[in-house]
Amino acid sequence: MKRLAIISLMSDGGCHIAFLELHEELLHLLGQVELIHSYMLVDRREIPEHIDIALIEGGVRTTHDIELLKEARSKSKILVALGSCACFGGIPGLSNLYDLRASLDYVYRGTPTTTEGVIPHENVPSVIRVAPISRFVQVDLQIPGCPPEPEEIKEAIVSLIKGEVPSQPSKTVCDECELGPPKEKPRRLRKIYEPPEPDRCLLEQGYFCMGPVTRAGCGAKCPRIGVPCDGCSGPAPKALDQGISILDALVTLAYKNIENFSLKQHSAYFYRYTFASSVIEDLLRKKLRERR
Amino acid sequence: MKDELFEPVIVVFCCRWAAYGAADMAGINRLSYPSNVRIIRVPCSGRVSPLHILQAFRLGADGVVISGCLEGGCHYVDGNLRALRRVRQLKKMLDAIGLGGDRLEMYFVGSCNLDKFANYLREFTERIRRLGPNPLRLREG
Repeated sequence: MKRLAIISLMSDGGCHIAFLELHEELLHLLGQVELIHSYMLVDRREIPEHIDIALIEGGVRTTHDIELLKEARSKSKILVALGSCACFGGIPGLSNLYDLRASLDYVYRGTPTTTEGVIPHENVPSVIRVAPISRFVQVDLQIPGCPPEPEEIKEAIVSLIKGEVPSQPSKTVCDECELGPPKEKPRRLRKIYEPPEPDRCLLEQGYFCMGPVTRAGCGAKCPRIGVPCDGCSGPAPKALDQGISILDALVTLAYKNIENFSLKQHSAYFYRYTFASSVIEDLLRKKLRERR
Repeated sequence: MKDELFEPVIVVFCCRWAAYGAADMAGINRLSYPSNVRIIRVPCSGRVSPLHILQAFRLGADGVVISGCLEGGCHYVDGNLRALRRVRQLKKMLDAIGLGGDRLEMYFVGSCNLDKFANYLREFTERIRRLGPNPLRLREG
């Protein structure tokens, strides 16, 4: 029987819950694999030896995460990045827009409710810039999503057990969306709390919908109920870089709306999940390295 | 690196119709322009994605120029204006990450404006000389 382990780095456990959300199907799955490590279900602290499939949840934030990740890689045959944090850095990646010291200082000393705060420095691993796990180890499969689809996790594990390569969607959220393509340019920018018109493309109505550049696989859940896609599944295979690709699209479709955007606004809208693996982050990292 | 020795590397994306034509004609007419420029021919300036520009900077280019047809003269209706919008957005991003938006510029030239084309490139090269090398460029030596 194959041995499955779930290892958590910087994460909130949501991807783990997505895996548990298989409910009864989980029982069928557990007939085929042995769950040997999972911080929610198994009482075990150390990463066991001889893992067949390791699901890594969460991105890298501290040096401790790097150690854990390298240990997991050396003990496992197949390493899967589960969720957008592991694949692209996720929402915490947006903190890379700020100076590391300044953000630590704000969190431990500057918040309004803090009095006489101290930045922890004894016996704690040092904090580094948020990074996807692929920056440190080789990743065999990515299952993005925030959280990923339980069905997709199951299918991936089942095909990995059989020794097959799991199929990955190559389309975008727009391909799965029922609202249809935009027919005209949006007249004004709409905020997310304004109610949308039914059966009309959200981009056309003036919402920032990341559908055109986001990887399919979720069944366009959000646009279907009138919530613009925020791009949690990361870039579609041909989009390369989410924020830049949507910028490319929006300069023709809704230029007036993004004309005055700063980099922070741009990142918050268009790099919400992928900033830590974007081209901009690459440039920033390279610049920091050069300065040193 | 001393400033007087600094020879910038400038990548120029030229649209197939006007800008590349101008560069071509400049060559035929023996009109000199700085040898720092590396010309890349593209079908239309609207083809140049921000990714191409950022990649040029990542690999160490000191300046990037997008050069397209005159306004209203694009062979693909509004490709050059799209390029201009992208450049405007990107300039702000480059400013924000500390590379300097001045390292990127968009010029409109007609295929017979040889002098203008050469002048633009001379001006731009001087500007980059003043700005100094790309901070991402690996230190030499």
